[in-house]
Amino acid sequence: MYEPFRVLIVDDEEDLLSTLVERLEFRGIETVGVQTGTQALAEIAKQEFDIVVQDVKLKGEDGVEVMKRIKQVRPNLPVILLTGHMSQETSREGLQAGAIDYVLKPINLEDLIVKMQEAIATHRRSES
Amino acid sequence: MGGLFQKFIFSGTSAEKAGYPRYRRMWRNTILAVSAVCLVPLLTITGVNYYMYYRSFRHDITQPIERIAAITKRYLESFLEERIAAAQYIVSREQAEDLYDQEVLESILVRMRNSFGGIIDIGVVDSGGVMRAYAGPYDLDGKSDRDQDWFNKAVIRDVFVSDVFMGHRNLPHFIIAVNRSGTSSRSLIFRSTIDTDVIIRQIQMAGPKRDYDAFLINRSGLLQTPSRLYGEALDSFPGDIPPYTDSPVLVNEVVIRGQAYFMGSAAIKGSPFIFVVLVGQKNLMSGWFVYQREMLAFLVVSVVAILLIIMWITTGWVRQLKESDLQREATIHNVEHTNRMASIGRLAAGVAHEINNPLAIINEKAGLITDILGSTTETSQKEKLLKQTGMILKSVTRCSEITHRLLGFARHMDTTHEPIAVDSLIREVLGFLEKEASFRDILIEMTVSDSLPTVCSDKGQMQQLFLNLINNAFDAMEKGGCLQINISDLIPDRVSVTIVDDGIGISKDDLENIFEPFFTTKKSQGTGLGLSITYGIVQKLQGTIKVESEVGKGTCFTITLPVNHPMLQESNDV
Amino acid sequence: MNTGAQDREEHLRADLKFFGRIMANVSHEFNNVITIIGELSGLLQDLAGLAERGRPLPVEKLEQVTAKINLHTVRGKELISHMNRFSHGVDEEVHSLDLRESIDNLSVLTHRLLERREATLAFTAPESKVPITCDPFLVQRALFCSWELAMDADAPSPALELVIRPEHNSVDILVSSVSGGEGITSREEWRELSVMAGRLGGRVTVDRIDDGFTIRISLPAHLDAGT
Repeated sequence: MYEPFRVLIVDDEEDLLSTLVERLEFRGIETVGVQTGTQALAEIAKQEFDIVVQDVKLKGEDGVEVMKRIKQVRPNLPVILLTGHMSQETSREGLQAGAIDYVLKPINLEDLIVKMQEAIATHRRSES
Repeated sequence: MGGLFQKFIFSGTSAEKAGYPRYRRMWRNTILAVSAVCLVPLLTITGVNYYMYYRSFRHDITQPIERIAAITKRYLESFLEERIAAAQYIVSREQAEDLYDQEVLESILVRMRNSFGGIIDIGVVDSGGVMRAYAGPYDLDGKSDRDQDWFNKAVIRDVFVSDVFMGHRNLPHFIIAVNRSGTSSRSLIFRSTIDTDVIIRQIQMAGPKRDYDAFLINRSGLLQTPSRLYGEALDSFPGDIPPYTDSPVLVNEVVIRGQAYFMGSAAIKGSPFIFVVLVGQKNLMSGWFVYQREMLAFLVVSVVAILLIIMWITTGWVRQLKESDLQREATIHNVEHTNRMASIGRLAAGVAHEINNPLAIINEKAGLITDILGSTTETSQKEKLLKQTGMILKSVTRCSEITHRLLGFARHMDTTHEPIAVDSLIREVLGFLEKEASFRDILIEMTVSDSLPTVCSDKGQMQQLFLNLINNAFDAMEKGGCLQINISDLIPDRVSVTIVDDGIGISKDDLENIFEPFFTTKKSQGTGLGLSITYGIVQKLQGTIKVESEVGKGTCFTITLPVNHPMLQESNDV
Repeated sequence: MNTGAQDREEHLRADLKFFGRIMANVSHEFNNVITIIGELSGLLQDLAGLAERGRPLPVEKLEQVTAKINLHTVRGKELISHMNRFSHGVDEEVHSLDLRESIDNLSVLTHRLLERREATLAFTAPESKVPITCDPFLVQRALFCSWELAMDADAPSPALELVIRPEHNSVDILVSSVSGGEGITSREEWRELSVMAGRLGGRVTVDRIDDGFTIRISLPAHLDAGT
């Protein structure tokens, strides 16, 4: 079990989304899952999240654009990007746009959770 | 000439302009060489033939002229000789007093006239130049010729023949004077005047009527006998005076008053005369000019025909050469294209094949899980579940590895320049061949130098290069061999890769031809193009390749690749 | 290098680019599939772990999850099978095939790409086989190029219609953009498509239609029956 935090997961693959949500909830992490950037922005407006985990590729939308819009609304909300492939271009672009970290697919859940915790800790430190 | 070339060979297709200079040179050099080979002998032989024929023709022309001149000369000389001999005889036989006798002289004249024609008169002149006796139609008795030119000349010689001159009654004649020397009282000159008529008749009888003239001239160029072209006796001969030499007959080509002639000349010995015969060139030479024209026409036509044929043949040949060069290039290119596509197709199919295994495992395990869930015992169920899912996760990891390898391979497939870590690239290639290596029991060892520089090059081609070479090594080893790969940067600005196998090796004879297209040692299979394509790739990458091998021991390929300046060219991500 | 060789270089590059694109797409999609399988398996482990705390195994739930794993495994297998089929398309330059299968193969492999553009491809395969002898890889490349040209229309969600019309000695493939597009926007891509059609022994034309335009690719059914 982990220190509680709230995460918003954005991924267009339904089964992946639901499974992730279920597994994180299983570990006591409050998770909300959405499939589109629009939905993500709506959720962020509705409630507070400690962190966002978002797939770089979303249906019909540019993942980095979505992240930028999230950052516009919530500048201090850390975002971790999910990607199927690490390359210099994608990582540079994402990190420049404000992503705090990258996680490679297939996902190592423990690794993801650690990264989320680190991100949140870093963010909380910078806040205080 | 370039324009011609363009027209015939590259007409319309500006496409092949790049190869233009080489083919143009070939075309031009071939035409020049073959033309030289054909034309030089032709022209030489024609030239020689022409010259020989000219000489022969000329000889045919000049010979008759020579003959006429020679005959006439002989005739004239003997004509003079006869009369001189007669006069000498007379002078030697008769006493001076008799010679001075008018009646004696007249009878001598009669006798002389009976013997020869053409004697107008005879006279005897004493040493003082006075005509002491005279027989003939004129009244010259007692006249003094002391101041006369002929006398002064005759006095100092034994025999004297004078130029023709107009004498009394304005008839042309000349004098033959024979000197009887002795004491001054006895010396006298026996003079006979010769009429030129006989001579003239003889001279003019010799030749044809047209374009022909024969006459005598003296050494001052005055006509001695009438000339058809140039006037009467004592008119001036307008041409150059032929030399008065001892040599028999001369024939020359001359131009007099704008007309061309063959001139035969002969000096009449013992006289001041030169016999001249002129034959107009135009008619004589007309045959020659016809020949000349025909010859020239033939030559020109032949030369032009030869040149045209040479050009036509060469053009056809160079065009064919160009076509076959292009075709060969196209074939090689096509084969390279096919080869490249085939190898990536095979790699991708290999990946699919590889992925099927872990997928099958996942499938199987999921099935097992269903079975487990269906069974009754609880505690072991959990364990079993965990075990199976654990295996699924392992397969997932495996699939992920393969997928990432495929992705790495698929990205930048068409990029021509990117920085490449050669060791990573070779490991990637080995990754694709992992299955095959383990299937064949081949052990692969790789050593890499520290701080290996990145090579800026075409990733896809480099992959294909090493794929080809490693596949070859596998083929050489069949089963249970060892492949050693070493990557180093010992040579400055280059990365060296050695690929050593311990397979069947290549014989010394084969080693020479190993990179040649269509050369293969694989008995039944293979196009023989593999290594030549590999060689081609090495060249395109501006690298070098060399091979060492020993039959039964193994083979070592050494490739060096230039490092270059990193020229990052980002291609589009998918 | 003369332009004949330059053309061939271009062809090779374009072929490689397309092949790489498809492969990259497949690997992305497949990676997604196994990611899901991985998570689902992880979930199974989580759920199995519940038994430790004295709770019974949630068998029904586990069965559901396993069923999902199976679903995605099948999806993965299909994808790989299509990828395999596609890879074999470069083996021969001349092959007799059923055009319907080529189209099906291509649409599965490019599904994700089309989805990301929010494009829809409406295709009703004819009842009977559509035989054609040609370069299997090249015809798929040409097809995809025509889909991309049709999608380039400015509409946010391009709608494509695909129709095959087999004739006596030829086959017409009609790719229509029915979302109000103006026409071909990329001259370069159109030129590439024309080159491909030429290489396949056919030709390509474009006509305006009511709500868009139609790209017509006419190919000879057999190589000697050229158009």
